[in-house]
Amino acid sequence: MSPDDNLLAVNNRVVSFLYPTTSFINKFTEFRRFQGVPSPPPPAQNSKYLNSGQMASSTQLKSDALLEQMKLHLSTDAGKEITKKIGLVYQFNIAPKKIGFNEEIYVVDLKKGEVKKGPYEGGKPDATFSFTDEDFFKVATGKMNPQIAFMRGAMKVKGSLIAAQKFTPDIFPKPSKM
Amino acid sequence: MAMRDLVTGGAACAVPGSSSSSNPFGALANTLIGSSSKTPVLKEIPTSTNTSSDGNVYLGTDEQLSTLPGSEFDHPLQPNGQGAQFLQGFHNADRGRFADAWEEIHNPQLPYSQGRGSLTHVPGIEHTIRPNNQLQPDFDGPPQRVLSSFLHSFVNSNQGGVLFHPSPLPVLGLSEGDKQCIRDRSSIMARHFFADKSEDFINAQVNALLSSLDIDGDTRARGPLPGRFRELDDYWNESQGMMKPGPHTADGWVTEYTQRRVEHGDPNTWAHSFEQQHGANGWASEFEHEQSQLASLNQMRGANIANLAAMEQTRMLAHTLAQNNDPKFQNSKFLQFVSKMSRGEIIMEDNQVKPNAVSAPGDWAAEYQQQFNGGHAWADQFAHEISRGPNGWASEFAAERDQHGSVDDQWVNEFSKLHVQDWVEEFGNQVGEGALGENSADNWANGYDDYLNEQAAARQRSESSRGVYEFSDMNPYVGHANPLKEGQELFRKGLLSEAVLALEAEVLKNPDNAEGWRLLGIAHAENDDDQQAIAAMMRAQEVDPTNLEVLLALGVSHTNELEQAAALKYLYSWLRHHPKYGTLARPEMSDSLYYADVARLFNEAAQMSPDDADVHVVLGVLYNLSREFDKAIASFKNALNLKPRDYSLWNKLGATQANSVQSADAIDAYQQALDLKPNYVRAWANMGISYANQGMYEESIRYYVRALAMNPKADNAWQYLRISLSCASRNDMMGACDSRNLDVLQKEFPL
Repeated sequence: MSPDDNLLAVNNRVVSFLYPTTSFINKFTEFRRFQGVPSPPPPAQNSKYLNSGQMASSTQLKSDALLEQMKLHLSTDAGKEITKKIGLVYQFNIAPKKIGFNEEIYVVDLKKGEVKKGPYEGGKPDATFSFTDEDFFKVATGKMNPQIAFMRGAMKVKGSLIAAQKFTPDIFPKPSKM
Repeated sequence: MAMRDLVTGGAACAVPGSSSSSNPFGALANTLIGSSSKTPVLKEIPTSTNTSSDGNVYLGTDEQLSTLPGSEFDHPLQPNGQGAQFLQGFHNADRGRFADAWEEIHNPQLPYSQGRGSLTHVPGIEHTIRPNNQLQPDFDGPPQRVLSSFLHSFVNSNQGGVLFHPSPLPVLGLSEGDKQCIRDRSSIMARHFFADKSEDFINAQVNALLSSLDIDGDTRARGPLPGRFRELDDYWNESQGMMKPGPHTADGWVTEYTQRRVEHGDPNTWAHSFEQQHGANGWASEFEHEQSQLASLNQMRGANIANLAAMEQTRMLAHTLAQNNDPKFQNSKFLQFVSKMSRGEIIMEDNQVKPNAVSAPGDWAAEYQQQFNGGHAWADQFAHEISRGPNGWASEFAAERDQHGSVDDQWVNEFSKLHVQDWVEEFGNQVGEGALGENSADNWANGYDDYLNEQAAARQRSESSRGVYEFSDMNPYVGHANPLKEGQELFRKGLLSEAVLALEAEVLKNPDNAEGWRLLGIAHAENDDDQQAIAAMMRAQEVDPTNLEVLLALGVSHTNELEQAAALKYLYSWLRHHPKYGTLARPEMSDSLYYADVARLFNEAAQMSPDDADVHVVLGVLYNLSREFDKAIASFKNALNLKPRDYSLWNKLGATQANSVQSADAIDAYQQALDLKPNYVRAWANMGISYANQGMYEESIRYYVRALAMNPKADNAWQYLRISLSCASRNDMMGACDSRNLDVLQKEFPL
């Protein structure tokens, strides 16, 4: 058994302790492969609307609304709890239809308690997630479990897996309904 | 060493392979013993194996070997507690079949090796066998804990390289299957734990473990005949080959049966016996019978419903999927399904009758999926089966198994008792390391992945089919003389779920009744089901495209779902079709709507008639879209000044406040709404959200549970409840949440 194999074995042990499913482990190997793959092309379009009544009629992402609410939420006591508990920086690349295309980039900085549009500027985020808009919405509202999303390929992860595992629906505020 | 060798070698791992093959004495002894009757064997054979001497035996000390090495083969026959227990099984069995069983044990054949092969699916077995556990209340008894801690100490013994000391243990009641499993697993795992140690050390460790557990070294795979391993190897490959190409792999259900049935030497036994019971086409005819029943139900629904069938079905699929958040749950879905089925819960829970069109022939996985979603059909058939005989399907099944010999029964039953989570987790680690690499583990994982992909695909379909109304099954109001009136009455009384049924009956009778569809949509919205609300409102809009209430409701529902473009479209339509403000709208605008333009028009409208509460409401919704919450709150407050008793307005105000993180204010507003309409499910659910967003998870749970008690179909609330349970560290209630057991939840979280 080579040293590298050993490393893999150790990592796998951690993973399967948390998620004792064989397929997750399989996917984990994919995850490692994915890490080696060059990142998807940079977003073709950048922030172009909203926040102050400026709203385009067509390309509005659901995730925009969620992350805007997140921004507010992080200023509350409950939000500060989350910041304290997680203490990591997540970057979200959210595509309207297909992962890797026309992505909007958000940084949810749970070190500082901020949500910002655009790539992270303070170095490397602890974990970067790629979603489609719909799937991000589902994961954030608890309709889909992040692990399931990952296994289905609905969520791509780069960076620390430990950090990625702390990404749960719990950190998002829930939208109330009129 | 190839992983497969490790697996098929089984206990050979506990022993250097060479020693057994160079063991003619063993071969001779085994041949003699194997062919003799059992009684002399019992007398002649030493009863137990000393750990150290066992180790020596397999290091090839000829002297030791000459003391009758074949003895390992006969440890199942030890007249000590375990052996006697085991033998008891034989004695209990029909005498006439005893010889067969005996034969099988001593001459492992294809089925046996497959049985062994399936043993290596430990995670799989663990899940698939578990349903049996539920029939065995003593499953979680102390022996499991003893075993668990014992195995832990074994695992931990790899630190420091200390010899693992065998220790006396109470009788654990391990079956042959258990023992075999432990034997195989410990041998393989020891190779990994002690990778840096010598083979002798490993053997000593394993033997210490095995002797403590009163497990003899493997009798069969360590067999005396040279070439036995190869033989087993072939069998293994064969069995794998058999399992691979079929449609089975995608589906845990089939896998389970394959694994179980495989022990009987014929994977098709199950199918055969089913045929025997029900005739060659029994299954199909049962199925068709169900179909025809469903079809007749379908006709009741009205002509236009039939073509929606397929879409409803896929929606249902997504619905089911949405509940499965936990990977563990996903994995053990079959188990959940079976246990629900056995408790009859599926009938209540999944009561959407769907006309299950038979899928492509042979596509078991898809068919199972349909059955799973259909639930009803399956459960019906199951119930049918039960009512058929006094003891039901289970006993039929059991009886059938009995005919195949008690050995198999014992294996399954006993193995299912050996539910040791830690063990399985350790095994999972091994799988991760590739210990079982290409064979079982990958098979299993791939199957599971396929299954997931299928589901994902179905899910995509369901997304495109959104907006299709999903009717309830078994509607008591079908045939009612005036369901609309009844529905209106029920709605007024606040009995939302009942009102939904009555109104469904109305629109089935009069599909062109816009008011029926509209009120149905409102009822769903108040019941916290926006998907159904949107679907009903869209039907209402088809019938009456200019109904202002419908347009506003659609705008609100789409806003709730964060579907901004759609929401904007409907709100603009509201303005355009309004008798008073319609003139403000310019027709050329409807092609490309810009939020700012629409908002400006509504502000103009509000200036035109500041006393029209409706304009303020639409403005409030619009400001929600653009997340100008302060303006939205002001608009709703204006509207409330004009209409202080409109509970839905209070809820809108509350939701807006909640979304702009003024949760404390929101709770006051919701309370106003609930004072006016106590059965307002949406407001209860929103209360829960507000508490959760403030980090008060215990409180939020109570409100979610209350909302769900009034409408168990409010999926959002179930999902949020789950999150709150996890945040409040109430994992003990997770099971109740996943099985949607409201009785338990209400008792635990009274409001």
